[in-house]
Amino acid sequence: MLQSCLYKHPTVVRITTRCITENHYKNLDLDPTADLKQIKKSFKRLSMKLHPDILLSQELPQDMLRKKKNHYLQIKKSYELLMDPEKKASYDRNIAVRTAAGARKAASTNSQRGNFFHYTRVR
Amino acid sequence: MFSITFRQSLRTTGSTCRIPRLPRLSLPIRRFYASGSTIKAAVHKPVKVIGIDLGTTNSAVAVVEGEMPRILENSQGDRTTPSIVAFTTRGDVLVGATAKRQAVVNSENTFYATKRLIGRKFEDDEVQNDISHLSYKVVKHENGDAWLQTTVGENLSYSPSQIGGFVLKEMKHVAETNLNSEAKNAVITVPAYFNDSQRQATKTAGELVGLNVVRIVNEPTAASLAYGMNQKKNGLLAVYDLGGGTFDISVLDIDDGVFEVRSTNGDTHLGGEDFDNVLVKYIVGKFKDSQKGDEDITKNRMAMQRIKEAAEKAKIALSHVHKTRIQIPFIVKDENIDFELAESELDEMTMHLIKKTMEPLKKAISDADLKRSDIDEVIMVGGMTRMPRIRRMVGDFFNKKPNTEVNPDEAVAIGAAIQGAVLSGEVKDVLLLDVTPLTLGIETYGGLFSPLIPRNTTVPCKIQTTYSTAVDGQNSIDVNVYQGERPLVRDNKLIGKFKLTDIPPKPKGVPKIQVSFDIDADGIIKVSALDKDSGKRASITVFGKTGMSQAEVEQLVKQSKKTTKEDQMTLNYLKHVNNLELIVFDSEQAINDWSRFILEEEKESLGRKLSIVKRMISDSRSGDLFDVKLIKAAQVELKDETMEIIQNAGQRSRDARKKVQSHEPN
Repeated sequence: MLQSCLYKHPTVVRITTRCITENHYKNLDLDPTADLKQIKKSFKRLSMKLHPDILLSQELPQDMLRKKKNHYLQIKKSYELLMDPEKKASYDRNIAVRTAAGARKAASTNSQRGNFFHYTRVR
Repeated sequence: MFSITFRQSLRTTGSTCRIPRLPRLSLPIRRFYASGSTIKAAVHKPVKVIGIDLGTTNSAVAVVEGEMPRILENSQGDRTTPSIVAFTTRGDVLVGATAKRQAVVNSENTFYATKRLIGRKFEDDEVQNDISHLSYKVVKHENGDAWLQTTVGENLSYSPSQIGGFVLKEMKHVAETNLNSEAKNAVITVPAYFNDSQRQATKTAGELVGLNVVRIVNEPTAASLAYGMNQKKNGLLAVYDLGGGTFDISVLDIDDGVFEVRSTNGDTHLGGEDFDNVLVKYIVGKFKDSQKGDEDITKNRMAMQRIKEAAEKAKIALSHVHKTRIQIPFIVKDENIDFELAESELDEMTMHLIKKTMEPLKKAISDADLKRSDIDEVIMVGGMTRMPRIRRMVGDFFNKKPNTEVNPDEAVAIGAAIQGAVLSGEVKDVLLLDVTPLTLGIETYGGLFSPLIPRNTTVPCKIQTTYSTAVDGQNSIDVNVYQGERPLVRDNKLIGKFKLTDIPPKPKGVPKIQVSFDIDADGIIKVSALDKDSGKRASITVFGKTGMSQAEVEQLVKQSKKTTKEDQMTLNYLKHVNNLELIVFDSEQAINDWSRFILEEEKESLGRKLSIVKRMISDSRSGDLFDVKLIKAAQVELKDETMEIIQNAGQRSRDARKKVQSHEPN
């Protein structure tokens, strides 16, 4: 069944997960020196102002509501990243590298593909 | 799925029966329908939103007035209303205490605890198990769902959610009588582990009786609002909610009015009803031991109904006293039931049920990345938590005395009313951040589950991931959306699917397809796919379209808890198989590209190998073949042979070019 699924109804192969560089601290109204407690506090303070449930009764026009919702999602994403110790550490390192060496590009090891059979697309 | 069957049933029974499908319109509603235009007058004041706890055994309704939530009493002056609906031979529909009172004489047409059957298939073990305890008849509906059959009319049957609708209608009526105005908007609570279709079924039930359901809220989360509104304390809170039919545990982080759910877990078929059933069995056993006649009492519906009521009464009594007397005179002919029951006896016979709540408890704590000792406060909700043994057990688990300030029967409705007031803008310093109970993702190449939104993710949320095609020239993509915790889609539940068509054909891996999952604060899931090059787009809104039954969710969660080594092995194996298939594609591609320079015998030998390998792939996927070594060896062998052929072909092509060049000067 899976076989036919592949040919008749081709499903998809995962290739990349997005990773956008943006200023997560700024999204949360914080300095890069902020600790977990401050991050949490700031997120909750912003949530109280910008969460869709809070906006619901303000009778805002649809497009404004959508814009605010996206803004809130951005904030939430930054919060989730910074609350994850591993992701936060790597993000902090990244900032440090960038500020130390200007806009130096991270060394890319993306050289040639060894041979054309070697696919690692399926994760 | 559920909502559709609901509507159909209303239509098909409409012309044949003389029993009203819904309770007769109560007066305030009639007034509202008659003068619908008057609603507009109140447009500048915040719209009132009532909160309804639609419970397994009892329901309650509350409202926030002047920032203070309060429970609304029904016409009998009770703060909760039994979730019981009865149909009489005269064509009346009774709801609440009046239905409960006549249960003994009309047990076949008195429906209680129907929330346990919502969204379940007739064949489910839980349903089959429940049937033996129930005084009414459970039948299999044409779509396989468990429905309820009366003996009135032409044996009319109802879906469990229709019964829920009758109860909701009654609660709406209670609110309207109290508020002296129409109650149009409501927040309704459901067990945290209810799936999308059950939430939608609840919503539909409300809408059919004229309610605008502004939000479905999880019961333990609602209870935490009731607690937090009074306490104004920050910290980590565990809500242990053992009601009539379901068990939920949620861990929340409360911080200056923001209630953030950290994790949730539970068992959708564990509650007071199970405790009653154990006790009923015990009483029946006790009676049989001393029985003089030979009547099988379990076949006597009326006697069983009396035993059930006595059991419930004794269970409740033992929460306050150490000993109680179970007395049922003339249970059959001239025989009586009369014996004493001690609290310790009840504790002992229900210990297995109490223990069943411990596993979800541990799981919720670990999902929240916490230790038991991190929890600052434990609250107990649901009538069953009055049982002293349960309080002790939970107290021992957290090494902390549970907080008893919230009313176990009323907290959920109060919380629902608070959330309603937040949404209407009446309460401004409270915010609830709730989570999705199960992982969401899509099917990828080879039947693998690619999770996009892990369970316990706070909503609203939006996640995007880029995917690509699996074969050359693929011009459409099936996006199959699944819910569950297992690595292969076949073990999870398909909750929706759509197709992205007419994408420009390109070699595999080239198109960039962006898949987004968007869950808004209502819990409505929207999945969309976008081909970045052509701008083609397709999407689906999953909520309520097709859903899984509660039993299926339970099954999934149960399975995911023991995601086995075997799963991992299968997953790994299928990844190797996928890789092998990619090599096959590349080999075929290469033969095509270099066709002119490949010898016939080479083509033949490679072709033979390819067809064998293809067989291996299809056998692996159907489960007939499981041999990692073989697949790995095939990868190497096929790769090497193709490599060699291509190298030879390359040599020949260079030779050919040289030949051409050496001829050119002439």
